[in-house]
Amino acid sequence: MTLAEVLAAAAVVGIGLVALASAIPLAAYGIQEGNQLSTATFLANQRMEQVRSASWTTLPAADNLGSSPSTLTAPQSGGATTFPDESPLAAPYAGYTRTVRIRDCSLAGGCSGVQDAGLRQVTVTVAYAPMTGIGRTPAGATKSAVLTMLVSKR
Amino acid sequence: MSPRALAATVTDRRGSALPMAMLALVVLSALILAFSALSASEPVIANNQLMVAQARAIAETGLERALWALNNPGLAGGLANPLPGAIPAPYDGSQFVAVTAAGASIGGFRVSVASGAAPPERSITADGWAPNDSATPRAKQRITVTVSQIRFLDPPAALSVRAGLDLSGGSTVDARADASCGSKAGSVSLGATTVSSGTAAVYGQDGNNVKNEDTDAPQNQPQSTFDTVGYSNAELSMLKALARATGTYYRGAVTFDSGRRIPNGIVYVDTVSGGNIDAAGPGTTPASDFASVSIGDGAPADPGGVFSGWLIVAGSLSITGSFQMRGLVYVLGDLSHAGAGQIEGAVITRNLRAAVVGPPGATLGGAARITYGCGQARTGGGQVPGGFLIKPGTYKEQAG
Repeated sequence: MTLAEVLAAAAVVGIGLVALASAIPLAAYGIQEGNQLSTATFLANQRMEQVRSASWTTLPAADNLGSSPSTLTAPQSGGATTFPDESPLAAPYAGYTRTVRIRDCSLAGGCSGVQDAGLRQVTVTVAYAPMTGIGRTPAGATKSAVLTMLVSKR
Repeated sequence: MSPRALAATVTDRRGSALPMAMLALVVLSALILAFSALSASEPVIANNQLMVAQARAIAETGLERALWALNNPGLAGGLANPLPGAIPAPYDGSQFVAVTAAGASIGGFRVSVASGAAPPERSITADGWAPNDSATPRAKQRITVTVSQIRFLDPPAALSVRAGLDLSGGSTVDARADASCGSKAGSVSLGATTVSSGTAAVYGQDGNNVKNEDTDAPQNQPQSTFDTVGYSNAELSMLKALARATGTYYRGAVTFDSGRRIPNGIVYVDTVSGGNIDAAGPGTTPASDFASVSIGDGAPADPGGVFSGWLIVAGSLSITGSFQMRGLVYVLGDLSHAGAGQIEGAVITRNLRAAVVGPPGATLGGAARITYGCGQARTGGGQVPGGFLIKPGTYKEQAG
């Protein structure tokens, strides 16, 4: 085996590896996106279960659900915020933000065809900064997992 | 070829570098391509997981929408009670109802409502889809549940006793103040009603203020009078489950006083075994299995000193002291009320082991007072919901 042969082989292997290396960011993106989206789904489910377990009843009169004064505001009941924004969440989920918005269905437009104060629409949004095939997205760009459901007054 | 030439060919390394390099490159390429293919499935898996979560939440939306409709029969979009013969859309499952959040479509649901196995029950089936019911791929989740309304028994009197009734001392039963649920007697009994001593008084809504007339305290009434003022075992099981959910379920011998206070709400004191009385047929539950409840001074946990709710006892109940309550007392055994307390609402005793002729199934003495209040009895003093509720144990979720 001569030096020339070894150098030629190394060049061929090097060129091949450089070509293959371009696939690594794409593969890393797939793994990272899967990780982030499934974590966001878990966090959204977790919050939705907390919202579902909040009582909103006529007898006895209780409203631990609240409603959001605007789409930018966390839900409030009796002057207290029932589900405050988590921006960001505590470790180990510091890369995620979580918000709950509760729409009073008596407002104009209603909810899915019903306009009544006995219904509210809960929307849980978990946002995160995604990674792309060429690295991090620009600052401020986010992806999110959104869960929504109606809740009726008991 | 000579042996020497053959050995030289086999051991000669010249020209081997490139084939070896190509072989290594092929192996590496295969590994990296496999890794890329595997990692490409990760976002798909995560997205599927999100769609399933969204479909489930949307199926819940269908269920909540049906519950709202059942609890608001008088509103546009509500469902009449009893259910109409032809269930209107969308509660017949014919209509796909889209669900949006912040202007973006998330999915939609179909929901159907049908009569349940018992008159106060309704069966709800809700299918949730994400992103819709025709896209590929799509996720579907189904929730089936039975909802039931807690029936208010609407007793014919402030005190209904399915046995004999004895009053003594300064005890009073008064139904004159509330006619909102119709004209009520003070007491009604299957056996005899007696005033054994003292100045006990029973007043009904008979248009006068004279006590203890036959119209105030009808006695020796037919069994049919009491048939409608009893809960079935299924209804009792639901009440038990509701009490369990709020931590107000007890068993066996229980004493409520200043040491163990009685919280507001549906309070259920069950048999020692936890089974419904005579579930296997009349007389099959021994008396030793019955609950035994005593209520004394300082029992209400409410800071106002008044218990509000429904008190259901699968056995006997004894009240002494100055116990104050608003709501309904439902006793499957016998009742003894001999304190200075007051019950505002209604009292029903089923006296499952009492003889009609013999010791009374309910005795009132001391300064005990029962005042009829339909609203208090119906709502448990504002603590018992009247709408349709999910029947415990019937919630089922399945993937489409």
